[in-house]
Amino acid sequence: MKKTTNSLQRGEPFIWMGGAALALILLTVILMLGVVLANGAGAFWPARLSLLELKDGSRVLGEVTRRQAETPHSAERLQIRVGNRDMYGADFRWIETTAIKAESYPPDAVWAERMEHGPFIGFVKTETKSGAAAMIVLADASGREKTLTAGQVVRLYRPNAMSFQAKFGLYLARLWELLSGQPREANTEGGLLPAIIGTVMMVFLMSIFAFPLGVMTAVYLREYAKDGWAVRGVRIAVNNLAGIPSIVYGIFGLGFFVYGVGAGIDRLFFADKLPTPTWGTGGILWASLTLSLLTVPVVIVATEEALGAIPPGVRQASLALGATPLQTLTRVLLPMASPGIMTGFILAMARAAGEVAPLMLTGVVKLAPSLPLDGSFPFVHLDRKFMHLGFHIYDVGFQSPNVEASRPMVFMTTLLLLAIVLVMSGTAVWLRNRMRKRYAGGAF
Amino acid sequence: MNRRHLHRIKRRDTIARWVIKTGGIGVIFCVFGMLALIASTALPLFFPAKASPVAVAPGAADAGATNGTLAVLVDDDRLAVWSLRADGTAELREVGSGKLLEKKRIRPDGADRKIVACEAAGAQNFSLLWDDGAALAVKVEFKAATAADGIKSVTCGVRTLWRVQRPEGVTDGGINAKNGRTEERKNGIKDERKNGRAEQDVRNTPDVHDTRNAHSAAACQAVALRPGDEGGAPSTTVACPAVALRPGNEGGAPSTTVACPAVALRPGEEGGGTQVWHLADGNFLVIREKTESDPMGEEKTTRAQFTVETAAEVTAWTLSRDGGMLYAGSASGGLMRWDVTGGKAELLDRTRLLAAGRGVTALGLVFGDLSVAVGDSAGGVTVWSPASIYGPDGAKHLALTHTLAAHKSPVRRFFFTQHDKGVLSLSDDGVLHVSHMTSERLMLELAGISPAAVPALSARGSSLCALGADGRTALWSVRNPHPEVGAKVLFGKVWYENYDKPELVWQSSSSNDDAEAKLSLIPLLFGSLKATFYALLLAIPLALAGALYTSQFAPLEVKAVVKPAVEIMAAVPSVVIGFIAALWLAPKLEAGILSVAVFAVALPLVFIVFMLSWMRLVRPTALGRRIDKGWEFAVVAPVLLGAAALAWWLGPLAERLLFAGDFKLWLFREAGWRVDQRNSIVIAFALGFAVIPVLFTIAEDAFSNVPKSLKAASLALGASRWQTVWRVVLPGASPGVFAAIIIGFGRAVGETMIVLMATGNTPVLDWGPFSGMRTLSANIAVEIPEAAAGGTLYRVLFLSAVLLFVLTSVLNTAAEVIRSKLRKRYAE
Repeated sequence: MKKTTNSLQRGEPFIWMGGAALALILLTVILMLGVVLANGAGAFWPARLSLLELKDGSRVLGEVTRRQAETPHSAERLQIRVGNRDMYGADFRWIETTAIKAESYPPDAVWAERMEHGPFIGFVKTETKSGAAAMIVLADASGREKTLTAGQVVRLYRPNAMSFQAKFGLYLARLWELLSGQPREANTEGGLLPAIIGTVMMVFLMSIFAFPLGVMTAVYLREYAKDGWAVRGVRIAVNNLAGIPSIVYGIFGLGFFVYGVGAGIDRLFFADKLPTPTWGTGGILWASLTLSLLTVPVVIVATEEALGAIPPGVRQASLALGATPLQTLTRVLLPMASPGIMTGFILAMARAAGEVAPLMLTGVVKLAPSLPLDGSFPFVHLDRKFMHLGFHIYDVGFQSPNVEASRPMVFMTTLLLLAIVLVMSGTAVWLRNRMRKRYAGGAF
Repeated sequence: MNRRHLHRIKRRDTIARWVIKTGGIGVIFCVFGMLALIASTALPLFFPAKASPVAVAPGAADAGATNGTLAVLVDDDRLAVWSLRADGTAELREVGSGKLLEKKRIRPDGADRKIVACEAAGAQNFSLLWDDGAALAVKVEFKAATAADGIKSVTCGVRTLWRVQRPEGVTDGGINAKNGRTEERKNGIKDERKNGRAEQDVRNTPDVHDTRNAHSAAACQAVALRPGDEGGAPSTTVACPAVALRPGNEGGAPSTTVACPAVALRPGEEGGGTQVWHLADGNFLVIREKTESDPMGEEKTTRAQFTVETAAEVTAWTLSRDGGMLYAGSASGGLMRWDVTGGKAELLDRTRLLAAGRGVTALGLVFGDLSVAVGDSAGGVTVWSPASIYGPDGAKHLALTHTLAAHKSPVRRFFFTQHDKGVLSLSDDGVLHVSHMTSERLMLELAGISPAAVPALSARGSSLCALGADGRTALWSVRNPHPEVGAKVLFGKVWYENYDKPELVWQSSSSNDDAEAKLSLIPLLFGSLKATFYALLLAIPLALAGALYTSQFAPLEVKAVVKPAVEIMAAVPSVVIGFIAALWLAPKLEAGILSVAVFAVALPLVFIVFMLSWMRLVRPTALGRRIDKGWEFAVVAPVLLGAAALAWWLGPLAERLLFAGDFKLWLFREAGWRVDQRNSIVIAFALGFAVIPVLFTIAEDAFSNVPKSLKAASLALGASRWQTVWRVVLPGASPGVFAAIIIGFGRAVGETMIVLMATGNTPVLDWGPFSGMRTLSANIAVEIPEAAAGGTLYRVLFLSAVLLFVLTSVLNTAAEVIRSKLRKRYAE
């Protein structure tokens, strides 16, 4: 008998191809996370300001944001963020490396974050500090002056003269502003507080509706239903709910909640305000209800799995001791399944936090005039429109008039959203794996 | 334990059982409820129009037939009906009570003059020809007012826009030598017609008195008084203008002034206008006057007068609302079109209806004045539009673009909706069809209408009034919300105006009001399938091979890392993927598009070279034997990175050497492909990234569920690792793999944010990898902010949601059935 030593016949290369596929998948995941991390995490780090002296005698001061060649083997061009949008008309400038005579990093170059018109990049001429009426005169690289009051300046620093600690401090300050501040300049600068509050509140409301229904359905499937058409029907329904595109949920929310239920409430209780809609327009309640339908399958699947992992002996023991099915459920099964159910909750919340398409139809806005949560009675305003981190990314990244200047902000938002979602999912996965191990032996 | 306590526990248990059961089964109702709601919103698109009769006057007949009603009009709120009589009077009657509100003469100067022809020009404009040769262009205006107590009332004004006199020398069948010459005059005075007066200083026109006290008039396309009927009694019949209406045929009574059977007047906005006189010899006399102000404020009037030779027996004709295009149809089925804007008539078309033996009996211009509706003697209704049928650069000729529902008897007249492309046709047997040009749907059919008078639709199309067969004015309230949509529009090719052939187009809004909405779902479905195709092209091989490797070859510690990693991948929000794809990947790919191509070629080559060297050189060593079981992916990863780096370096080099430094230009010149920044390759990566975890998880599950005993048996028989997997595991898991592909397909079809951000959203029908697309799902997100609730676009978007719902439901249910079968198979 001939020995099959030929590795091709034994199929070794195919296994390697499988390995290559897996490697590619893992590399893409790493690449994606790396891109977000590299672009997002570095966005707030104070960058070095370069003073370029050009061959035509003019001087340009700014942050070099990109070096790239027009064609692969031609001379490089520099993209420079020169700021001073109100004076130059644009934030960015392209300069050929061949046109540059000298490059230096003057320590007294300042970067002034302003309330309006983006940053001012230049030098401080005079500074008058006299209480509230503090004034500062700034000049750009070519000497054109600009006077700002203290109220117009958010923050002023000299990046070229800063130590690492100072830079780190500034980084943290900016990060804090991102988490706790109000947006400025059509969302391209400032903080994300309204979007964070909107997202958290929407997820919270969604949980109130989705969790009971999900757990109830899963309990029905595992503990109450006898195998038959009803179970099969429910299973197919759950599968369908999980597979229906999110935009379809959005259009359902629009048609049913907003124009159906909402307009009905308006006709009944807010007829005096019509035609201005109160509930008959997008709002945080409608968005949450829509998302709760979308996330119910996640809860159902996780709860079912958790209940299924409990060995049947536990149930039988409880029933044999005279407990009713309800008592068995509430005192034995649900506590035992709670890590699994929690997994489902977290996964559902992560899903809801990242979903954008249905919200666009049911109440998310780019800039909400008032938060759905504030100090005026009744404190929670479920009919209000809200801001959302995911929509913020779409809006600022694609609808903003100044896409290039808002890039750091969008990458930062992306990083934040991704971090929230991944931490939640990671926790859920970890919880589930721990739970699986607990019953893995099934040693009863 | 006492009995009451036990009883309470039992009751609680029963209640809980019912609540849980209801909640569980409630999920089914959730799904059906969702589908039912979306579908019920979309369904009215396919309903026919509704018309409910409204009584104008209870009791006694208003005897419209005997008093020579020429035309009727109604306002949108159905408050009053206006009618025009051949004796030159117009009256306004209240709907419901039938009370006469107003009765006036159209012409204050011609007390005993009769109207011999009446032609409708669009909404509520009529050209009236009188038996003394005067011709009036009038406009009827309803003015609705709401009193303090909320009661609505309506008044009606008739404004004479223009008054002309039959040109001198136009006699029975000919015109004199003055015709055909152009002259210019200086006017000096301000034209006051803009203020509602008609004081046009036109030669041959008698002075017109102040017409502010508007008179009434109404209209029909072509009304002719039959001369010689019992001494000129006010009995009029309505006929097509040229049908046998040769003045003098019956003795010339009442006078020779009926030298032309009909006239069409189109006053210009600045002054002047176009007059078209249909002469008794079958030709047309066109008089065009144009008044222009020069910078000095002086007005200059240009006048041109010329004849249009028809060389056919004209049985129906019409003039565009700007007076620039003249259409005529002949008894032998010919259709002609002239451009009369120059100093002479330019014959643009002389074509023939397709069916032989049919004569043209009615003509009319669809709203927008681009398409002409043609009614023939067999009852056929067709619409013709100018199109470059002989090539893209050729002149535009009339082409048959739409065929509407046919009548059983000859078509008598057309009238049109004034806000869309609705076509209303009335046949000799009194049947009215409400059709729509674009969708070719017959929305409504009404019988029992007298063809004698011109029916009318109110401005917004909510009311229809006509002269009933019993001689009384009949009135309907009409609901016709979505005539422009039908199965043919949504899924078939439609020949739109200004297009050269029938096409599949999605273009929901346009710059001007009178353009048709183009609502074909095919380009969007195509876009969805294209995006899915490219995504799966990348995702299926990667995910399946990766899942197979993970489940069959990777050691446990690798699985413990890979599976959470894939779950993390699944958790990445699609808005993040879309954002990275559009703003980071797309520009990078655009710059290095050739590097990607080089990578696709280099990867297999590098891989083969690596395999050969590994098998020959490394594997026989001790190190090689230790590494290789289950850790292949870690070894091969640096090789892949190396190949990528090589491609990144080679790409620009190849571009310079092979494509003269610009691959995109070369591609456009050689293959005609334009490289969009947001193209299908970007989508393949982005959407593929989103689908891979779904495919991976389900496929891995299926592979892992193949019983160990089968594998053990195979290995025991001497098969290698791969042979076992290929011959035993893969066939066993194939239904699960199939289910994975189905579910991945469903996920890719419905994905919204990624395609919204990374495709460019242009609805094109192009399979090319370098162009973008617009998917059904992204289209909903793009268009719904502009769609008014309950409008046509809104419902069409709901319909596309129904499509997505049904598509994904079918796929998911199928996949679930397959998977449950598989589970049962290995359950034993």
